[in-house]
Amino acid sequence: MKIVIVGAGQAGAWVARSLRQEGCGAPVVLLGDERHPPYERPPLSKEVMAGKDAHPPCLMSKEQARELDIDLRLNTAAVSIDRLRQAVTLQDGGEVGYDYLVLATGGRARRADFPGAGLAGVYTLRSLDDAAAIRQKLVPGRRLLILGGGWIGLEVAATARRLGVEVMLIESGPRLCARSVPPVISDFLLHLHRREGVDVHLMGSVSKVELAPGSGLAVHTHQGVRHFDAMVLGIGLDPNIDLAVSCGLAVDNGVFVDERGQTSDPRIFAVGDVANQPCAWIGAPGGARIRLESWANAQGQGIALGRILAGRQDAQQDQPWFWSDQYDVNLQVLGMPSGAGTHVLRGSVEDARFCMFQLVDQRVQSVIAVNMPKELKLAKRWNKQGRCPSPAELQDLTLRLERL
Amino acid sequence: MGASEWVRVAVYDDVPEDSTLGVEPDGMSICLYKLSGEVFATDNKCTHGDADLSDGLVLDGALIECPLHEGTFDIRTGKAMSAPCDRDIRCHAVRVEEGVVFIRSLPE
Repeated sequence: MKIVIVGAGQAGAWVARSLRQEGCGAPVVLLGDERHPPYERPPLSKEVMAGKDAHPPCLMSKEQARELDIDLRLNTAAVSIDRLRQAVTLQDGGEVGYDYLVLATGGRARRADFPGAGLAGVYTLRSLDDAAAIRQKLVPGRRLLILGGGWIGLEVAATARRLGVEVMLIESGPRLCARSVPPVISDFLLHLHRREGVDVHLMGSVSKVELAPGSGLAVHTHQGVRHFDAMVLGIGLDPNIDLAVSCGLAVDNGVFVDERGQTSDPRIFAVGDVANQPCAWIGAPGGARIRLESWANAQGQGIALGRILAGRQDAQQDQPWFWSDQYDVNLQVLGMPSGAGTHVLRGSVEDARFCMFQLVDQRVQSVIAVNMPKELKLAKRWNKQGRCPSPAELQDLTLRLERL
Repeated sequence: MGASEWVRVAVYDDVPEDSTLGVEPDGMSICLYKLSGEVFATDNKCTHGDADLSDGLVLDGALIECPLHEGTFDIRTGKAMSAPCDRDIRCHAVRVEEGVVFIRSLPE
């Protein structure tokens, strides 16, 4: 049995590690199109961009790959899949045969379609090289425009402000991070960034970017032409489904997989940002599907698939969970927040230390924790145990929740 | 802190059962734990991310879970037990005398 993994990011590297941890000795080929060995991406917008750590945590060094007997090939892009012959064609013309193929191709930062979006000085952030390029522009007093008020945009804004950069942020919608958090959290983030000196514009737009005479960029915004030294687009991620599409696998907002990660071809699996999977965590809405773009999902799905391919039993899918770090704020989100049920606030939004519990049918459906990570982890525990404290208990700051 | 020196770090009763207490003797950052009445000590900074283990949860009376990325360590041995942690955390020797907790750093 030979296993080929396309994509050496968080998900792909964990599949390989997990296979070995589970005692699978099959030949494993791990193909990465970047020049760097697999690394974790969350620090790119934070420690790496701030220059605190040149390298994010490495998931598998070349030495570790050798020790684990993983055939790690860097700078190696896969260009097509021949499902009949069970082989992957590489950019350099080479070919790798497989018994099982894992698509861990992730996604690419979305590019805007207005004129000038591709100019030098207009950046996106997905890779270590992207982060290093942006870092060069984060010099005190320089002017940075960020398009997009999602997690990437906000984290880049926070890092740039801490480096003394003048930051303007334009979001096209009426509030920040609207896709993943309710209005009260959007407002909290808006006040946080304005207090830190970011010029945040909601319902804003950019229609064109030109090279300014001399240097920098002239950006046509909803408020007329403004000048910046650099611009970062944080407007979303497009899953890398090209390989799957061209070999005829079922795709729909990512590669369509079942709860084990299997695609419409039983020899091919998909994990991480590219996989559109059934929601199978305890308490998940029946029949729903989701494509998650998170570190935790990439790691968890990667480990789970390694177990499955090694012939072990599937593990219970975890509730979705992610975090963001901005200035002195650590924000974590467990589950999928919505307007349903009862919302209970513990702590104080003004003090940037609070937890918002969403209770539906005697269960914690979601938690948003700002500088209160322990409470969120406790909610995870309660969900596993199938219990739920009362709203009065959750609100009571004199009560240590871990004693409940 | 010398390798053979015992340092007073906490009052025994201040370390909560089945939970953690962060202490900073001599500028070090240490996490204390109490499991079935017995006190253990490790470095406080997770070996993976920039987080204090003393803000984390004790699981199954044996593991500490990092509050940031949910990796776990065996409190008694410091062994990294689950992803993303793969480097063990340093443990410290603990002595309790007359209700006071002392620790001594072991060589790395």
